[in-house]
Amino acid sequence: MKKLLILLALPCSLYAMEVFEEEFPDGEIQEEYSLDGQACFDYIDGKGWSEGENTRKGKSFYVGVGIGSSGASMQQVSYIDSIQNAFIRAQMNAKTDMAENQAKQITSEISNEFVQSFKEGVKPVDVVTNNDLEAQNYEELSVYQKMKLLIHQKLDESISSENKDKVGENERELQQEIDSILSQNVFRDSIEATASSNIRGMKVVYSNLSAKPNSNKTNVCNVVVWSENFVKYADAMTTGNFKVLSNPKKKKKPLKDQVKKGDALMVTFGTFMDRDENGDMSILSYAQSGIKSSTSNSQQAAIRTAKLKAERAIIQFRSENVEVQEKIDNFEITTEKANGMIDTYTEENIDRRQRASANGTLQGSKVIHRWVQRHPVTSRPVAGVVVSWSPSDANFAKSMKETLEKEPDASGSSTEYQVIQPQEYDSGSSGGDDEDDF
Amino acid sequence: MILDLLVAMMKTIFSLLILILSFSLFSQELFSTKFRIKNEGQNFFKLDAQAASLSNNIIRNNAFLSFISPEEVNKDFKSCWKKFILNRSVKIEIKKSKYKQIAINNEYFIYQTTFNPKDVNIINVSLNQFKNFCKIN
Repeated sequence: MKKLLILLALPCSLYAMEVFEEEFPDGEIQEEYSLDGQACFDYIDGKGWSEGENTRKGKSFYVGVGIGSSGASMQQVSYIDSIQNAFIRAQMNAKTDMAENQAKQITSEISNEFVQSFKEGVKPVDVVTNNDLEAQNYEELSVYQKMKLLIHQKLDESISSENKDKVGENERELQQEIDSILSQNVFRDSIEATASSNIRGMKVVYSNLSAKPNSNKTNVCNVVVWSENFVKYADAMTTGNFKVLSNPKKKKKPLKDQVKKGDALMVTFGTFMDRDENGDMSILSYAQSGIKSSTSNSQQAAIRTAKLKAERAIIQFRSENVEVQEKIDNFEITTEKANGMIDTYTEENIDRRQRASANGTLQGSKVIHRWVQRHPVTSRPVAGVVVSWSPSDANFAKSMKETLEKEPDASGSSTEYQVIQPQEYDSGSSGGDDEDDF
Repeated sequence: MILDLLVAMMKTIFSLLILILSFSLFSQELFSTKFRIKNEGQNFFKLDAQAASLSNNIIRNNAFLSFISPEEVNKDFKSCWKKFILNRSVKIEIKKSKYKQIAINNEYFIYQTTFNPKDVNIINVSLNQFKNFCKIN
């Protein structure tokens, strides 16, 4: 029993999630507020995951949350496109967070400079340094110097005294201001942070839209997962080595049956990866666009826009270079004047830039589902597409391309012209018109 | 007899389990602190930029933790670090840091920054340089 007690005591003293935390008041959480992206954090909690690295069955994977916000008012026609943009930003945020997680470089520069200028008495005429190096009298001047003198004199006569007085006005005012300053302290605190990475194989597992008309606030979030296996899949998609994607033992439903239905389409954005009916790792990419007017052209334009964004998301899944740069500059200038007054000026500048770029050739993608619905928030029409990619479609597209790129076979063609006798003809076609089925 | 054996076996398994647990929990040293941003009704983009910048500020102010063990941490080192980085350019590389919004109220947005000092590398400053500076100052 004694031995057991000792063993119990040991781990308690060694227990170290050694978190040394500074004291800070939390404040109350007000009910009308909710954390940005809360639904996504709840999803992660529900799965038993945590942000960052997770391990299951000996395998590591990264879980991230990307949060975005719509900048458009709910009354605007462009609100729906603004939501799509918000999801794209959320995705970019998730990727830049992952880049920062890998490595972030921070450069810090703090400087503090103090200058004091003290004067007392009347400034004397400086005889020693102001020796006149020019001619002693007029007769000693050269012709050139006499010409300069004449021009100066004529110019002085033609310029008005008002304009003469204005010359140096700003400099004199500045000098007066400087003369009144006794000392000045300039403090500058500058921090710059950068991170960049090539992200391949980051897929979306959950996306959420939260719209609150009372505050005109629309937040979106998505939960992304990355693992080394996904990188292999993404690389296989690029290189065409589709064997890596294949596992006939893990067949699932056909891709068309895996497409979300109804209202779920409104809140589903990004690329989702899962196996198809052949057991091949495939992609479903969701995107949407607002329909600007009631015309058919407008609808088609929205569908084309959504299709382009969905296809672009597949390219981004394969490989995307992301870069983030953050800078904060704080200035504080304290000026003490000769009359005893002290002025303090502070300035803070914050700059955050994110860049993401992706390019590549997409072969074998197809629109697997098109839809038009009323948006649940604004009731305005929305068009969306689901674009799929699978190894079998990519193979088919490749062989189609090869076939069409071949030169047509010229042998066996006939140029003989034959005269025909047209016959009278009257017929039609129907299907599915059995009244018992109506 | 069998019962005694069973009890002895369970004791052994239980004590082994505690040993294993203690090793897995041992010393995951994390620095975590909260900070707040005034709620001025700013939009998400501005708020996120402010939070990211303040988080970097906290990392910079506490980067000295990468030099010293948790037992050595005291206010003297912290104030010495503040003097050390004055009028000096310091380059830091960090992995796996994160900041997260944890609460909102009428006055403030509250965030938390977390990082492991072992994942911090101060590139252009050595431990000796810092410690010598602290001795002199």
